[in-house]
Amino acid sequence: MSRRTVFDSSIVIGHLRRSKASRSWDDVSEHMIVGWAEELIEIHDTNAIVTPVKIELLAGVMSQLEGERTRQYLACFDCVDKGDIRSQDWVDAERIASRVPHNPQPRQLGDCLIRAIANLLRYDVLTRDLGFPR
Amino acid sequence: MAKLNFYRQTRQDGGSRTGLEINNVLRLMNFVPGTGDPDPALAWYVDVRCDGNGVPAEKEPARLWLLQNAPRFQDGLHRIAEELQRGIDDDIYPVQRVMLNPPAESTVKLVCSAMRREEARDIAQKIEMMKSEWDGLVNRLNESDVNGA
Repeated sequence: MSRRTVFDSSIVIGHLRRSKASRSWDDVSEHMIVGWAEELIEIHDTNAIVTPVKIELLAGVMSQLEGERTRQYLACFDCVDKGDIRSQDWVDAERIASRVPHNPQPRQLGDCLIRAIANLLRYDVLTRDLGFPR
Repeated sequence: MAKLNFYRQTRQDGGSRTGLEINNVLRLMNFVPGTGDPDPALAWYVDVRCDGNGVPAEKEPARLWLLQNAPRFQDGLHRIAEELQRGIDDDIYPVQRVMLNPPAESTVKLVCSAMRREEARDIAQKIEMMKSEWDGLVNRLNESDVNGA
C-alpha cells in the first residue's frame, strides 16, 4: 500500500482493543489477530505505521502470548521509517511538544515523535488524539 | 481486474492531498501545503474505491476514465452527502456505501471518515465540495508530487 497516511497509536490500539473485546489472549489465534490487522488496513486503505507506534504496542504487552500475538499483528503493517529515526525528527518532535494547545493538555512523547516522523517522510497521520494544538 | 482509489484528504494544518492509487501503488497526487506550523494529523478523508474489469490499470487512462464518468461519480457523491447531512460519528470505522449506477464493468465504494466532531458534523459539505471540484481535482493530479510532497 502506498497511501501517504500512517496510523498513530490511538487508532491501532483502539482497533485492537475493540476487536479483542473481552476475549482472553488464550482465545485469540494468529488467524484472528492477522484478520483484525487486515480489517484495519482494508477499511482505511493504508498499512503504514512508524516505529513509535510499534514500540507503544509492544510496551503494553503483559504476557508472552500477548507479545507473540502483538508481533503477528504488527507484521501486517509496513513501518515506513524502517527504524531510522533521525536527529531532525527529534528537533521537530521538540517543536511539536513545545506548542501549548488552547485547552492545555500534556503532550506525549510518542505522539510528538509520530507527527515529526510523518512530517519528515511527508505522510499524513490518521489519529484519534484530540489533545494536540492546531 | 484493476483496483483504483481516488481520494481527497485534509489535514489539521489546512493542507490537502488528492491521490490516485492503482493496485495499491500511488500513481498521481496533488499536495497543497497548509499554512503555519505543519500538523500532519488528518481532519477527514473521502475515498472513491473502484474495482472491476472496466477500471483502467494505467494512470492516464484512469484519469480520463474519472473525467469521462464524472457525472456518475458526482451523482454518487451527492447521494451520500444527502444521506449524511446530519453528520457522521467520529469513529475508528469510516462510513462506507456502494455507489449506485457505477461506470460499466466496475463497482464503486464511497468511504468517508472524520477525526474530530466538527469535521464529522460537516462531512456532507466536504463531500459536496469534492463533487463540485471533481474535474479540477482530477486534472491537478500529477506525477511530481508522488515523490516530492
